[in-house]
Amino acid sequence: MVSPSIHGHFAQQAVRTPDAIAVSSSEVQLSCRELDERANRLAHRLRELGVRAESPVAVLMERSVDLVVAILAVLKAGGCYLPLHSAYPLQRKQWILEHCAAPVLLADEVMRERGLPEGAEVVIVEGEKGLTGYPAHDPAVETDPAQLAYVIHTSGSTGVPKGVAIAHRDALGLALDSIWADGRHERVLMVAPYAFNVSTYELWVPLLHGGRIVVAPAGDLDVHALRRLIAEERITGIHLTAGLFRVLAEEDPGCLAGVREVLTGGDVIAPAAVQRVLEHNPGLVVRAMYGATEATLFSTDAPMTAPYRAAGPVPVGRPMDNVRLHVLDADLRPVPAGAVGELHIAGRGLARGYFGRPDLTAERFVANPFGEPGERMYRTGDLVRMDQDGLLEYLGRANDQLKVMGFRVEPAEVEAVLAQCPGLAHVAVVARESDSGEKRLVAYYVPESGEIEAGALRAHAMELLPAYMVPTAFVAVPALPLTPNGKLDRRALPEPVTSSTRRAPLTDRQQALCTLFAEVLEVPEIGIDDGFFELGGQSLAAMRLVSRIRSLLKVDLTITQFFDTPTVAGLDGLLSRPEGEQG
Amino acid sequence: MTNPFDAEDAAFSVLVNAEGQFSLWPVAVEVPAGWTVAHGPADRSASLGYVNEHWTDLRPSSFAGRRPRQPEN
Repeated sequence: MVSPSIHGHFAQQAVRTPDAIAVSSSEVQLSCRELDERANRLAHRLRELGVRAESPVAVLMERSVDLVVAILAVLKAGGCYLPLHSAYPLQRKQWILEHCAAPVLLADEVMRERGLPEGAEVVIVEGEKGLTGYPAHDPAVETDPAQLAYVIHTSGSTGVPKGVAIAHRDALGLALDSIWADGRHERVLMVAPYAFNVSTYELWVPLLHGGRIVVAPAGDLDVHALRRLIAEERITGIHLTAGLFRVLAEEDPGCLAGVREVLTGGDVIAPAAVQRVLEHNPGLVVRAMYGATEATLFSTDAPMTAPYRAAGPVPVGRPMDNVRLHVLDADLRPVPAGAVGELHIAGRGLARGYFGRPDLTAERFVANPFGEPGERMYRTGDLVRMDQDGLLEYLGRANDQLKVMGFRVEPAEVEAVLAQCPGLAHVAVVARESDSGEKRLVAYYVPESGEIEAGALRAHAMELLPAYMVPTAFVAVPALPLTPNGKLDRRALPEPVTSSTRRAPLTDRQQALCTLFAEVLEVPEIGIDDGFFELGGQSLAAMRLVSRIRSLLKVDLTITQFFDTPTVAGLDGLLSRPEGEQG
Repeated sequence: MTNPFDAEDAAFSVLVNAEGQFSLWPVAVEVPAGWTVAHGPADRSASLGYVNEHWTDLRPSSFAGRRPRQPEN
C-alpha cells in the first residue's frame, strides 16, 4: 500500500533498505533503520509533550544530521515542522513562534548559546541524548494526506512574514515526481538554509528514493569548500540558486565534476553560465526549475544538456506531474501562445494558504475557472510567455517583489520595518542591479527634521530583518522623487555614493587585493580601509572575491576569515601571518 | 499589466466553495463553477474584512470533518 504521508513513505523505504546510509555528515552517519528509530524515539517524546495532528513544532538548529532526525520526528508525531532561520534576528523568530503558537521548540546547543525565542517547551536534539528511554517503534500516528507537513515563512508586503502551510499530499507530490525517477539524485548535498523551501527537495527527494542526504558543514561555504565536498562526498544531485550557479560557472565550473544533475532557479538563470558549466561537464544535466513556496517549491522544469549554446533567455520549462499552468490577461482570460500574461498555478502543490491569514489566502489562492468545479489556483505575480510547444519563459514580476541572492524580498516589508525608526519622514527601498546581475537593496530616506544617521537606520534594520533584507546602502534625500501620477520615480533616485578616505595601497599585495576588490564590486577603485560590505558587497560577491584571491595570490583563505576581515588592509595583515599562508 | 485582484478601487465579491475555502473575486468576471457568492459586491478592504471574520479555520471542510457548506454538484 502506498502511504499517504511523507514519514510513512520513508518508513517503507527503511524496511526495503534498512542498512543503506540515509544521512551523513563529516562526523556522523545514520542508516535508514537508525534514522527511523531515532526519529521514532523523539516522536514519542514529542507526543508526550502534547504534540498532536498539525501542532506546529518550531525547529532552530544548525545544519546537521540531528536536524534531519528532528524534522522527521515532528512528522512522525503528527505535527508540522516550523523551521526558524538561524540568521533571523531574535525578534523575528519570536514573532513567528508566537504567531503560530508553537508548543515545542527543537534546538541544539549552538542555537541555545546564541539565544532562543521564548514561550515554547525547548527540547535539545543531540544524538541519542535524552531519547534512550523512549521506544524505537513507530508511534503509528494516523496521518491524513491533507494534514499539514510544514509551515515555511517568506517575506510579506504587509511588514510581517507570511507562513506558507503545505500538506503531506503536496510535498509528496513534489518528492515523487517522475523527474527524480532515474536515480540522479542518489547523493544530495544539503546546503541551502533549511528554513527555505529548497529543503523540501534536499530532504525528501533522497530520503524517499533510497538515496542519501549529505549534510554540508554548518555555516557559510565558499567555492573551494563546495568543490571539496562535491568531490569527497561523490555528490550526484545538488540545488544551486541562480546566483550561486553563476558564480560557480564563472569562477570554477569544473567543481561540478561527477555531479549528474544540478537544479537551478529562484531567479533569472544566466544562459552563458549554463553553457560554460555544460562545456566543462558534458555528462551533466542542468535542470532549470521554476516555482513558489506557495505551490510547493517547483512547478515546472527544463532539462538542459551539452551541447548547449547560450542564445536568448533560459526557459523555465514545462509543468511537472499533475501541475496545470494558466497564463492569463487582466480579465482572467487565457492569452494566446507567445503573448505575455500572469502565471497562475493549479493542481499538485497548492498550499492550504497563509498560516493564520485568511485575508491574504483569499486574495492569492483564488477560484479557478479552468479546473474542476470548486478548485483553486495560485496567482504567482510572475509575468511569463508560453510558446507553441508549451515551454514557459519567465519575464519578470508583475509587482514589486524581488529576489536578492535567491531569497524572496518584498521591498514593502523592508520599508515597513524602516518606517518604525523614529525621526524618519519617508522611506523607499529599491533594488539596484550590478553589471554581473547581482541585486542589492538601497534604502532612500527623508529625515523628519534634522539628522538621522544611516548607521542608526542600519542598526535598526539589522535588529528586525534577516541579513539579506537589510539594505546595503542608506541614502538620505531631501524628498522622494515622484512621477507625474504620484508614483515613486525610481529613475530619478541618485546612485548611492560611498565616501571613503581612500588610503592608497602601499605594497604589491595590497595593490593586487585592491584591484580584485574593485573588480568584484564593479567600482573604479577602492582604498585599503574600505569595508567590502559597506561598498555594497554581498555574500555571492564575497564568494567570487575569495575564489579570485585564492587563485591569484595562491593563498589559503576561507569565506569565514573574509567575513571577519573584509578590508584590504585587514586581509593583507591576515595573509602576512605565517599561519595564514600556505605554500 | 495589472492583475484584477490587486485593483484597489474595483468592486469584489467573496466566493466560497464546498471545502469552505474563500476567494476574493472581481465582480466583472463570471463566477467559476463550484463557487457561490458569499458576500458583495463590496470594495476590496470590506471584502477582505468579511473573509477574516468568516473564514476562521483554514482547514478544508472534508479534512476538518466539518459538514460541507454545500453539496458537491
